[in-house]
Amino acid sequence: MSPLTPGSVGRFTFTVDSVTIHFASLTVLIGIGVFVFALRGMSGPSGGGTARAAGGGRGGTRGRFLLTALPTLGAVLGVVFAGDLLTLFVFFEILALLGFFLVRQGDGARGAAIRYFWTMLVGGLVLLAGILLRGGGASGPGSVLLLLGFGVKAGMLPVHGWLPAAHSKAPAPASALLSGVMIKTGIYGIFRVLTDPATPEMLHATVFTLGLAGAAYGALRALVQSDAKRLLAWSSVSQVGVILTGIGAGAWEGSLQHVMTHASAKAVLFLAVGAVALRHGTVQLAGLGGLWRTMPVTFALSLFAGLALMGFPLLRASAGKAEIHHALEGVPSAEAVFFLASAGTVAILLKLIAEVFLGPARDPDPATRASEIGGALTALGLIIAALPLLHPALPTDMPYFVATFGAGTVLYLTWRRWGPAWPPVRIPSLPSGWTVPLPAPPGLPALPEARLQRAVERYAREIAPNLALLFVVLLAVVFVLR
Amino acid sequence: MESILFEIVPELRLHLRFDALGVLFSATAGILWLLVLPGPRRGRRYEALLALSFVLTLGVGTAGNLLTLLMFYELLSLAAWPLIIHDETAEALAAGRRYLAYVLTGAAMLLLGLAVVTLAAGDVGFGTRVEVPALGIVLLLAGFSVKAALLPVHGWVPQAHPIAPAPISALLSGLMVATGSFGMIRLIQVMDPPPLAILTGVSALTVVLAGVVATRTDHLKRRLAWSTISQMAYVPLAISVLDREALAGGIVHITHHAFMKGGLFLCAGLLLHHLGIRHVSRMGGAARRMPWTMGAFTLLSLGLIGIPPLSGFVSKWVIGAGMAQAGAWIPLTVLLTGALLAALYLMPIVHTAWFDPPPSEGPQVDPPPPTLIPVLAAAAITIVLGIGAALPGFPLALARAAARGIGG
Repeated sequence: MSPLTPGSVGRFTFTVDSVTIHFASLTVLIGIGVFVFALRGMSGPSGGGTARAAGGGRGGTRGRFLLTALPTLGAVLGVVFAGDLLTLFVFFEILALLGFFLVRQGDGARGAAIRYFWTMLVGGLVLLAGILLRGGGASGPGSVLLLLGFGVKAGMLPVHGWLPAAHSKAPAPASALLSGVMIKTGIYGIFRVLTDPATPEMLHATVFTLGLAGAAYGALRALVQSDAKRLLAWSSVSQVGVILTGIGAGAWEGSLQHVMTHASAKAVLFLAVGAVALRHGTVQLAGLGGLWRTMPVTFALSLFAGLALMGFPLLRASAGKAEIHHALEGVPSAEAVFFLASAGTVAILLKLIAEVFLGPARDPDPATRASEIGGALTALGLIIAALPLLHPALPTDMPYFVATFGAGTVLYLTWRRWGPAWPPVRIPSLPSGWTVPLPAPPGLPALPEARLQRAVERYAREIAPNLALLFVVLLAVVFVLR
Repeated sequence: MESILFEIVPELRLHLRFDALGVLFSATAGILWLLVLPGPRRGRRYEALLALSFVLTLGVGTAGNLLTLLMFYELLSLAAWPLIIHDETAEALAAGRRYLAYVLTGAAMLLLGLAVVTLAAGDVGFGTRVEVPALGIVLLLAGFSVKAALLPVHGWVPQAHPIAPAPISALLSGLMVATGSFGMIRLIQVMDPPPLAILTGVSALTVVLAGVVATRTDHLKRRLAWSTISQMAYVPLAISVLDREALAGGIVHITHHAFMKGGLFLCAGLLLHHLGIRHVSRMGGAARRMPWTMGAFTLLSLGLIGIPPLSGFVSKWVIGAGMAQAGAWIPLTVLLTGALLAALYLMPIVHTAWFDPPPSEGPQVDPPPPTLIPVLAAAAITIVLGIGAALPGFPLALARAAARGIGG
């Protein structure tokens, strides 16, 4: 039975094949790692979300996290094992609700959590419409809506906006679950749709293009972040783009491999950043440095996960990326964009590892340096999450890796020299009182002028440059592909 | 199964009939009445009329011909009036007058329609299809749409629902509005309707506009009343698609909505009674004071939005599947927009209640079991009807049987 049959209400069906096994095993393994980490990694004074524990609630941060995370893993397994679209949708929506609580547990995560909720709700409705349309016989439009609905969950390019906000604000173990496991349900859905023969051929090209654009755009955005978790979140957008490129190009085996690589490596990196935050109370790159001395295990595992994500040829993880890369051969323009994305990934990870673990040591404030007791357990969690990467393989694609590594290093050094000046054009602060107060629509309260001004300034400073960058990347991808 | 109750003159008789549609409606009424019974005693008039309205609702559900249906329907309208104005404040009396004006206008149209139909086809029993002039059907549909609260004749709902005591609001929202939709379904059962594009348009507008108004309303019970208008317009929308599956979805939505909205109104009543909260903007921290009540409220809200596997999702899915099969894309879009709007007017309440700091701290004041159990029961029903939707004898099975009998 195909997981893409519409299903009938009140009947839950489940299915098992190699794809579900693949997704389920990574879910379970990473879940265990995150749980072990959370046993110690949530109780520190500033491990993300702990300030809220003072506000009341029995069980505290860790209890609340475990209480949410366990059903989350269950819902992910439900999505993956679902034998029809209705069953899948049921778990999908439950997952969206639980994800809200996961994100909401972070410090200052209110806005990100609310944004996450609405995005998921609308995405869910689009998915539902797609399921109903496919069930009603309109396979073409139905597939488009399905892709859009799954794309929201996966962080596919035009609907990725919730992802960096939610993944950077959630507590670290929750981020590891979100990036490592939850967005993979979206990828799972897209994989199922694109491997279905009823899906129009045109959608493969669409997913391919969006994936390629996301890979490049996410990498560029990640490179300019100064917050370690935000950097990792944007890198997730980029890696999802790489995976979608592979799925769209037909490199299905390689994409599934890369799903595993990214899930495991990103979980390790998020947990590592969480462990750092636990000891140092910050995830701002400017406040960290030289930690390889005090946190050697975390450093080694981060380096290992980083190399895997870059596609280091001695690990099995590289095989997936290599296959995606080979699928692009013959389309030089796509190869160029993919090369940019790969170099960007190298630069991002170099930046993260160099600025957190290398360089001059900045000793933490003794007051926050309380939670070394958790070290062994948090490290164990990291090791478990890294297990899927531990699989040596014959070196393949060595020249490509060397090339991307070189380009990435150059990119990183370039950023170090000139990057902090992004965006390149400084927008002067707008004089107050310049806005024209618009007449309020009937029934709605008038927008206060200060709020309007803030919105316009935010648009000019943050949104517009990024939109421009996004536009350029999209334009480039679309043009070179023609 | 049919039985003739009483023959006024030959050709005009009161007539009872038990079929899947009527049984489902009556059973819904019976259980919802059980849920609203506990609570403070409100005097003899209230109790007597509450019991009488129950009998009359059963009468609507089991009426075997149009005459009987309309008789019980109008008597129910009148019996509900003293219940709505129970508090007898100036505001309540004004709302009561407005209510009477609306339902009596509807009654006049229904009577006219009945006359036209009876002249053309004699006694209209619900067992056999009849040929009647389009004018009769249009008049009857228009008359029913007053109770069904379709735009632009919805005006009594946002007035009467908030002013009535909470149990009465629950019944009004759960069943009174539903009697209008129920009447429409009975019409479709025996008459070939004229093209229903107008009904589609009107109900689509109702879903969207009432939902938008609900998001802008701060008064909690009034917001729920607007939500009723929006959600119950799903039923005429489903009828107008003329698809058997969509119709089944519409029928089952009556039952599902009755429990969800009834439960929500009961929660609103408890909030008012124990915390004195009338407005959404004052609900900060309410969940810390009344965790069980707000827990039920949250679950019922999720159900109404249509989060699976709760019962609201089942009706949305079945209606939507029918619409997709019939190729009715616009109603399908409206249906999903209605769900989004439901989230927009319900989720802020839930978020405020759970996450915002309370205006004043206080001890937990969850109500005593007799009044708490009904709202928990409503929440439990929402879960059971959602997960067990496919079980035989559950509302969905009955609704499908009813829709099969109607054809389409």
